[in-house]
Amino acid sequence: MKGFFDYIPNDTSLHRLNPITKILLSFLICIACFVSGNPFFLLGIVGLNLLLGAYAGAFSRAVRLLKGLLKISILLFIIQILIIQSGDVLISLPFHLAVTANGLMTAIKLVLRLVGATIPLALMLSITRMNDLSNALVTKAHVPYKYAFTLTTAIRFIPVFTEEMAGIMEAQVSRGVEFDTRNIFKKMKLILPLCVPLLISSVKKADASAISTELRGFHLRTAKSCYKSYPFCAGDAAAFFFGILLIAGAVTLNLL
Amino acid sequence: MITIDNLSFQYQDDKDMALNGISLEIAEGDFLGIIGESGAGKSTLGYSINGIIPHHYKGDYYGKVTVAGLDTFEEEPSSLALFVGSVFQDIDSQMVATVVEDEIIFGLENFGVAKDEIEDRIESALKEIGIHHLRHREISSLSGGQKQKVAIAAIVALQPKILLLDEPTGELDPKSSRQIFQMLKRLNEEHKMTIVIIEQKIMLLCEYARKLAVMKHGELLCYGSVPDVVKQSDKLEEAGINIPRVSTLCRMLKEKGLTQEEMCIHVDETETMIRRDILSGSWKVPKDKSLTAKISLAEEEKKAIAGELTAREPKISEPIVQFENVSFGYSSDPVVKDVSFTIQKGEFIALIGENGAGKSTLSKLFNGLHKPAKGTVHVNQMNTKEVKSSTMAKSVGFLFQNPDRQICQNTIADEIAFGLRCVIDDKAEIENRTNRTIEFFGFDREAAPFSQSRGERQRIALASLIAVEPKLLILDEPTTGLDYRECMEMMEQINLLNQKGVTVVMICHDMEVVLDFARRVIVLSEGQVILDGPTREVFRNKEALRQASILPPQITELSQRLGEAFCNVDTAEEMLALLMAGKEMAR
Repeated sequence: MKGFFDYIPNDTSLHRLNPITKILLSFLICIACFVSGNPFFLLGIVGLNLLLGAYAGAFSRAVRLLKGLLKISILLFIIQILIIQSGDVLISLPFHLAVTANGLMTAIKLVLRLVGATIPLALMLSITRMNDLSNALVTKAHVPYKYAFTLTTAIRFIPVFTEEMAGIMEAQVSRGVEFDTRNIFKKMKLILPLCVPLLISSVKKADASAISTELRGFHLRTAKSCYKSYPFCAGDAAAFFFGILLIAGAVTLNLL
Repeated sequence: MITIDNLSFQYQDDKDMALNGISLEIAEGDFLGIIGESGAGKSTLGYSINGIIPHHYKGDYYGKVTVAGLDTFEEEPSSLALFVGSVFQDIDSQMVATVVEDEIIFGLENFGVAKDEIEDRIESALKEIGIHHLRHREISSLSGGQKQKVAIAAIVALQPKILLLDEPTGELDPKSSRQIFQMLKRLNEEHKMTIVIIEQKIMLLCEYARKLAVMKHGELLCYGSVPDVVKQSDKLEEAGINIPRVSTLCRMLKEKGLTQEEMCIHVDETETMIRRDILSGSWKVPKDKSLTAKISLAEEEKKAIAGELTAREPKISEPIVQFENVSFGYSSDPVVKDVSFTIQKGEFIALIGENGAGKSTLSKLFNGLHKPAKGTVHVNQMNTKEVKSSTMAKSVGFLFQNPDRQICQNTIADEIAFGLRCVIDDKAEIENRTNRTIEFFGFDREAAPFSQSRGERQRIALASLIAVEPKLLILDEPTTGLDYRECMEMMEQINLLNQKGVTVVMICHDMEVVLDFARRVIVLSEGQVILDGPTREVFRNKEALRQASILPPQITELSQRLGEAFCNVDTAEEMLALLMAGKEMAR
């Protein structure tokens, strides 16, 4: 089973970008999403995300991310429509509620923003080796190694814990706990006792991880320890300007 | 190389001593195996060699440990790490990188190895461990055995003088475990690396290590060369360790005066010994092979019980599990391919095969955790496609390899009642069954499950399944990670249930356990059933075992080598009986 952030090996110019540029670019796309109020522009960004994914050989991952966001998108969409009741009524609903033009527009923009803004970071993380990320953060962005390592370790542990949780669920279903129910509220109630085994195994893993990194000289590490170098090159500049351009485009469209 | 002088240690907030007056001298170039029950203090001893004790785990510390001339009390673990490299059981938490190459680089960078030297170190470490082809692979795509090799390569690249390993094969199958030991042997012989390994698998230790240290209750019970230690079988027994079966045989033969050989550890030398001391002298193939039952009283009793059992089994068989052309896969690639078999009520079945053969996946089809992609699975007259797994739990108990995924309550009584509440509503009945189960297992009802030992937690998980009174019990490696005594306690309990009529299907890597308990064996290879039959017949099918990368139990292997006359012999008792009967014949 592959996690959302597992590394996808390839050798495209996106892969070769400096890890910091990748993170920066995904943030710039994210900002562009929030600045823009134009649904077509937002739709374009979602398309751009898929395009970037396809270029990096991670199209199926991008599609999976999209599917993963589907449920929460639908939920947010409905809530948004029900909350915003101002504007022209398009469809009347019972209990004095209605789908209004304003509500529909806001809901569409919200969902597109959510999708457009979350996919880039996940995508960039899955085409970056975690060591490159932490090393680049230390050498270029002067983040203390401890923090950079904590960040990358957290990301690395996501699939480990997902697997652990899936294992716990299976074990509990097998003894008769009704996780395989369709009733979401019932499921929520059942999930609480499960946090105990997950918590205990997390603490154990964290301790084991601390011991093993300590014995591999973690505390001796300095900013100069890094074996590889992470220079910025033309591609990085291009990616950066592309991101700025996106934001500029978003602002211009808003002003028109 | 390592000197431990009268070391005692007590963990903070712990009322018992974890180590008690340990003195040990480990010479340069040694290959030492440390063995003992769980909770005997093996890991604690390991931690005091690499400095984790007293620097990471605090407590009361007495005595002195010197490693390569450095006092571990004074030095930080990271400076000791230049001399002692450590590898642990939990594979995933040891990893720091995305790609194999980066994993190796991490330590090299930390210890400030010169940059122009790093490339050479990576290359030679990977070649040394034999995983050069994995250099650019993502770690998440590797198998457990491969990951553990990467962990070892990352340490070997640091070129420590001592390699300390704490149950590195705990999560691995027999084939990968053996590979790890072969690699350690090479490092030891070719590079004079001192190896200290904490390990439960006595057979591997006997085969590869040169010295053994046996621990019990924080004390060193015996220490010496492997044959010398194995010879003291009473002490090993006291420490809860099973000696290799050929060693038991050798001891029995010596007691009966059939050989002068002090100790055999391997099948090879046992074969030589038997041929030289017994078969070459006055020995004839006995005509009546049933003689075997008459030798020892204990053996007769066993047979009587077995006879009674067979009598008790229902004459008309009644299927409880039916797999019909079942296929299943996580992606488009099927992991289980077109599997069909029927299991009758009351059977005791072992499911064997190497890692990745599809055993665990197959087992999850029994209670509907996986629904078949093709074909049907019927369990207890229920189609697993139509019934929820949580509903099936009433009649199918499933014990996972890791009990900690099952246990979620604060007391043992609550834990057992929790499982019961999921399947029955009657409060009085829940109370009743909980009490009965606690009594049956002899638990302290208010004790906290999480603070128990691994073996005890496994028993608690089993107990909470048993309380439900399932008709079918699925066990996914129930004895992995347990020491010999815990393993036997576990298996006795399961055997008792089976005698009461519960059908048992067990995934197991320990062929001795399979031989002792299972009556039928299903062999899986690459998702297909390649052999299905009575246990002893299966162990004689060399071709199928080779295909599934399984080594037969020691005595079975031995009797096959000794020839046709020994074709029914699978236990030490039977071998002894046959050899004695042959002596009798010749007279």
